[in-house]
Amino acid sequence: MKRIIPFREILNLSLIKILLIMRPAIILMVLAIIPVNTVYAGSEENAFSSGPTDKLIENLIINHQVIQATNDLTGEMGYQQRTITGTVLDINKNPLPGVNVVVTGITIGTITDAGGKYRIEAPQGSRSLTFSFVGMDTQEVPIGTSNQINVTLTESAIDLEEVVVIGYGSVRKSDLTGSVSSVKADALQETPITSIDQGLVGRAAGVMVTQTSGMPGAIASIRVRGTSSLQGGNEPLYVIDGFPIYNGSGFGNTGGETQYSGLSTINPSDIESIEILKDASATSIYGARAANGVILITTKSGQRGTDLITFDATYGIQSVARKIPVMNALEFAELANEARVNDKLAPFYTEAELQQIRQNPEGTDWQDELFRSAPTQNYQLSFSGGDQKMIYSVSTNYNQQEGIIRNSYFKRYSGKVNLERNILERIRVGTHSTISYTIANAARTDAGGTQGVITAAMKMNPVLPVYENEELKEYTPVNNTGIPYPNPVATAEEMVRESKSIRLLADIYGEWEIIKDLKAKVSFGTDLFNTKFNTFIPSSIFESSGIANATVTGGYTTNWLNENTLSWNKKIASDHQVSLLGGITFQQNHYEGFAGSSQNYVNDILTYNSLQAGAIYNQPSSSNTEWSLLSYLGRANYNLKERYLVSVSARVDGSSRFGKNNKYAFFPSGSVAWRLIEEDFIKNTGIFSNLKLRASYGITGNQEIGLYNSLPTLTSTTYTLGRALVTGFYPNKIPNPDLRWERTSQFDVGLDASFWKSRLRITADYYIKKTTDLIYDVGVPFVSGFSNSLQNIGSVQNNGLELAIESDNFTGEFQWTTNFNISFNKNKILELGGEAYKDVGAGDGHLKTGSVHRLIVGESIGLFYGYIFDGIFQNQDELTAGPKSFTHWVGGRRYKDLGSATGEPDGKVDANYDRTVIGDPNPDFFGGMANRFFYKGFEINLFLQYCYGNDIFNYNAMELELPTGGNNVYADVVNRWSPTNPSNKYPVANTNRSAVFSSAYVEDGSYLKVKTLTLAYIFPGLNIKHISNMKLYITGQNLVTFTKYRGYDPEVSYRGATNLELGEDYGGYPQAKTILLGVRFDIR
Amino acid sequence: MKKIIITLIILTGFTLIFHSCSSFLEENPVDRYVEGNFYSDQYDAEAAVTAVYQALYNIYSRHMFLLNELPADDEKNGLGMPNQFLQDLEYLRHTSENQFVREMWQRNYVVVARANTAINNIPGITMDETVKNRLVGEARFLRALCYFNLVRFWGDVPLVTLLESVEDAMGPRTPIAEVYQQIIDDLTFAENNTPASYSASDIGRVTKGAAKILLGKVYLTMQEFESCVSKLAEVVENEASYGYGLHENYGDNWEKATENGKEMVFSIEYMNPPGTGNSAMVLQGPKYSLPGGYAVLGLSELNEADIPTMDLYSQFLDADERKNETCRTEFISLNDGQVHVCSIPVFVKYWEDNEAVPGQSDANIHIVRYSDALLMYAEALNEVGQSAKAHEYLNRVRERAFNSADNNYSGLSQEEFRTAVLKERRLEFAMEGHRWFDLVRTGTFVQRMTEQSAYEASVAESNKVEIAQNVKPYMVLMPIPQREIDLNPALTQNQGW
Repeated sequence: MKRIIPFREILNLSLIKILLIMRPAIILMVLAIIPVNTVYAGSEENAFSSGPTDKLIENLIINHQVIQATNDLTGEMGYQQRTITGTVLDINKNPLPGVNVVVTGITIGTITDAGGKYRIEAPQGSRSLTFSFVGMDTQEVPIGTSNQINVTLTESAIDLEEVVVIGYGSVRKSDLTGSVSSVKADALQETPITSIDQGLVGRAAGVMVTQTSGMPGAIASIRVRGTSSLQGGNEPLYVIDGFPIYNGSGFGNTGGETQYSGLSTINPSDIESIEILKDASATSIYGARAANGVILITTKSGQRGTDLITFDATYGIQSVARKIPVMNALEFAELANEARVNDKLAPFYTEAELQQIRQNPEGTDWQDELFRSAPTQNYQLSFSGGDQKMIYSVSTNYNQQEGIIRNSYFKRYSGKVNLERNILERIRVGTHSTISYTIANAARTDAGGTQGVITAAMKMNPVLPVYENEELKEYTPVNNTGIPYPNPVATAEEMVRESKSIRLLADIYGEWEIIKDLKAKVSFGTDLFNTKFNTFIPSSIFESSGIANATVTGGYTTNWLNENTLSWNKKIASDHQVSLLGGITFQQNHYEGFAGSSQNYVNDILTYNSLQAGAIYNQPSSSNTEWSLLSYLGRANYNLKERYLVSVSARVDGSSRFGKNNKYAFFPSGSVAWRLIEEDFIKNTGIFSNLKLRASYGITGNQEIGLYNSLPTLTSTTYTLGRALVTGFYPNKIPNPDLRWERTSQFDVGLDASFWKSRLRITADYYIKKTTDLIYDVGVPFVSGFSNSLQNIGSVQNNGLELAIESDNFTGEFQWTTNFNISFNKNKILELGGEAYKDVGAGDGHLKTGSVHRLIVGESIGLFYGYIFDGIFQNQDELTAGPKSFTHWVGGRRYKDLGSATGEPDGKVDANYDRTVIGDPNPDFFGGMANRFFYKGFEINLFLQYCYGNDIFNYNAMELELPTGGNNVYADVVNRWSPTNPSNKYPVANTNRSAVFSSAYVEDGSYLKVKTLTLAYIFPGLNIKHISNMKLYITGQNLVTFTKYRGYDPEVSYRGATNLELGEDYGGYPQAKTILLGVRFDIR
Repeated sequence: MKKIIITLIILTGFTLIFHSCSSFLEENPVDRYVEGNFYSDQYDAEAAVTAVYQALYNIYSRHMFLLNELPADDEKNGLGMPNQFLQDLEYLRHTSENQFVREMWQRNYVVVARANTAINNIPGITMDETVKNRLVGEARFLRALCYFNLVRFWGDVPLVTLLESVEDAMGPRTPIAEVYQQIIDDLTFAENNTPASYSASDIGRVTKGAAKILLGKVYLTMQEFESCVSKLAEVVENEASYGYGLHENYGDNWEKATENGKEMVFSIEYMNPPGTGNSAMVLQGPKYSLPGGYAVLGLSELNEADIPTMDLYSQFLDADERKNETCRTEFISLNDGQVHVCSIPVFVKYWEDNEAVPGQSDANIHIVRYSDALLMYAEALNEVGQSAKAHEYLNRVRERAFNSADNNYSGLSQEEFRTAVLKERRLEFAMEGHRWFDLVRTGTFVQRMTEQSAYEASVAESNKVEIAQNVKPYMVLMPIPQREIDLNPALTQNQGW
């Protein structure tokens, strides 16, 4: 059996090939290096520039001054001026070039030269000068009588003064009383990702990210502190530059359960930082949308005093990380014959045909035919900077990821403008605007049944060729030995499943400092998200039955937001710091969708572009829905002597989704923190450099309960009367005017400690999170005509422990830092509306599994429920001994007889008494570890992620282990049972497909993954023409996965971002292994 | 201070702007109806009744023949049918967890619920009284049909005619006699308020004749033979006025041009897209038994899942037209125009030779055919001692099948006649969802399953002997779905299950 190891293959690429691959990046680099004299560029000196010798810098500085002076002329005319000069040094007495020097309050400014010297014309009456530099504390120095002012800037104490973004504001990290994990841009951008959710894997304690699929742009399912909703939403609320977005389970047209992430429309390279709010104290300001955690995403904004142009290019090659070993043509042909002969049927292949197969025993490797080496590339050009009045950040990005399955891809074009300007005296206005266009084509995966290219690639008869006639491009239509898997190459190449989106996420805001310390802020934001999905199934492929079929679907979302807040920040005496926040917000979402479809075209040329050309029109559909939210929010923080911190916050949410009897909800929280480090008895021990204890309690809600669910709505349907369609309407649910939000109360206790001058930093949190009033389809007797009634009943608890450790192992010339996190979460169903259990999930129609999950009170969500596989009946005696079940023959599978109506085993296996819990998809613990090594410009980043104790239901194995000859199977099934080979694992070959859901297919999904390994070189003192600060790097992603799981990858979810049907794998898009080359530099 | 006041005024202003739209938090869906603003005119009334018809698809498209033929002697699971619940039904291993038993219960009650909605809302609508009563009559027929299914499968079942809250569905099982009384009331209302025929645009609706014939079937099942004879006589003895008769060819019942003709009493109506198509062809069409698989026929997918027992196939005489209309071994390929031969017979009543997309066939599925009325009439006549007339109607059906009188019966004793008419019903209605009801109704279920077990084991699969081991007298009722008992403690399980 041929087994390709793509990693080695990639390493064997010659240098020339690498250069060829890098061609687009190189061209862009060359373009960028060509001197562009007209470029106006800032002159921030940086750690790697060689300093004072470069004339160009001086020129630029002069230009800069000239331009700024010109800009300011009009406003400052008529003043008498006074020239002030001086030198700016750091604490080691080294001159600091590039320091921004401005006359306080007025936009007259300059920058220190290479020797740290400056010269500024200050108008008469100017009171002081402000000196600022990135990474240094800003200093304001009064202008006295002297015309010379020398300044020494000190480095900012970054750790303690680090600012953390929280809901509707930001706080110093030291003042934080809630549980918040931060992920910085550097960490995110270490991994080549298409959407932000993917980048969070393993980065933050308490945040479990499941890569549902390897499809480019696919959604990752995110659970902050466990699954707390059974039927409502479980994904966190994303707040992008203040605009709250519920990502849901994604969007798109993939033909399967996988969806694109809504976040794939946002360019990850524009992200400055991500804050994950976890406890109620941090989240309750988001009220009815906060129960699943809140992820705050801040995009990059400019830095005052520096103009920076940065160019980033990456180019990589992806290949499938693993292939599933299946039988070759000869092994399979022999199996197909054996299965039929054992059932007293004629063999599938004649001896003559077998003879021919022996000539080419390998046959077609369908996986090799379907997979390819696929390029991925990303280019980003960013401009940012600012002066005293204005900061800006403008960027443009092109991201393209070809999929490792033929003809699948994801492309994104995006642009961003973030601006803020001080106008008048105390008013700031600004905008965050991003626009993106995405276009993707999906290969059908995660489709279940006989559909989907991955399922087919594993199970297709290897004797069949890809083409019946290669010249005419006539595909072999379908598997021919039983189960009708369509030719996966034909499906991937010919079926169109295109998703397009245009998204504008923008706000404008104004902030007015009414009086000192009191600020009012008003913002208007909008999220316009338009999608169009095109499907075309041409007549040339099996799925169409020879009749081409096209569908066009459009969606038009308008979401607007108005927020009005007042905030007051005051230091009273020296010991009391008080801040207050209050606000009112309005948000409304409007969605309109339509779909049209027709079939039977003259030929396949027009694809989906002309529905009217079809001879048969299918039923069209459209929808129009709306939801709105009206909220009042408030927060008060009090800090006593930097020692005792108290914070209370609350939000009242009125939501259109709630029943008319329950329109408004109140979500309060409170937290306290004690900075023990400020206490002498701790300080004096000398052990700690920081020590803080935190505790919080609060209530949050979940409004993701669907739309119009409280109303007695009707559903339309059609019937045929008089050979024509007539429309009917019927009530589709039992209405519930009391329907309301899900309610989560959470208690959190946390500890922040650091040791050895902050070189070792630990954050630990323990939480108990109890969700009640769960939206739940309470089973009602079918006698009512309904199956369920949607009620707020049911309760789930999550409790867990999170630990994050950061350490600076070496800090000298050789640097080594480690970030490690681990999370334990225990999930438990407390109540199910009076029912002791409920079977969930439809199972697969083709394999007839029935539901494979059962919710059981007292157990965790998503347990696998089925029969216990008990080996193979080896002989007639064992068969007679029983128990009787679905495969009761010698060589058939035996299942355990667990009980009966009387409680005792009764010699037969049946659905009532012999199924039990056979697996748990929830991990015992999970997390990640990042290591960074740095030495003389060389940098190595190694990122590991892991997950332990979760089970996966390997749907694929149900057929890949079953020797029916109807489909290809694992290569290992050559060891199936036969009278001479007493296998206890694989049954005898016959045509019986009886496939019951048993423990045979529930596998350990634990893994340890080398997620990324990056080797980078940062050119020290690089100073060629316009390039500086250059970094070259090579990154490997998904390099090695240590796991016992037999599928493509243990990071998988057949049901996408599902709530309850966790841990299934059924023909999903495999993860890619990627080798990526990148370059990043600043343009001066 | 002034600034603060200004700010507050501005902020309050915003609040007022949005608050003044008092509907900001109200849900007023524009793309769907809400119960409060529906059921107000004739069109709404018609739509309410249409929704009742539509719910029949889920019962009759497959489940009715599965539960009537699989745990009986006509049908078995084809090679490669992986569904344990269907295998359980075939081998009489089914339990109260059986998916198909549960769905049959559920889907009949869905029809009942939609019918109740129509029956309770339509009378309040101001509209033409004749049309109003007709629509209520149609809905009452459909409710009666489903209660009839329910009592035949389960005996005593909860009777709900108005659902005001879920509590109304939580009652105990209603004695079968009371349910039958409701069925008779509903059908009587239907026969008095529906027309004998419709214009072309309403073909498929409940007719007076359908209500009478179904009522006859109810009486037959209740073994009230006198009532059965008199009710069926109203139609059979005046068939011309109802437009009923037998097609010359048995197969015309499944031909597009004639399926809604004189032999159709009541059926569910399928249509190619954009209508709902019949997918029985996909389930029954040949696959494993066809050398080269179904792809040689040029079709997209066939499953050979629901196939005939050899016991059934052996019952047909070669001269019986019904043999090849029910089961076939030869198929013409759309690819090469050649005839391909299966190694076993497969069901073909819903097979359309030129239908390239088998999942979208527009062949209707008959619920009541006129030959059923004739055979029921014959059966009831025999029971009330009118033997000669009984022979006449039995032979009328038989003659049509053989295109001759050569195979007619004569001089059968009352007991012989019972056997003959039961066998005739089997041949006439194979795969039309009657068999289990007929075996149970005639008290022959256990004996027949024992015989079938031995025959099938001798000519086909040896493990069919298991059926004789598993068959029990209590299996003349289905188990109440476990879920229903779990949710409603007032429900009791049928004896034996």
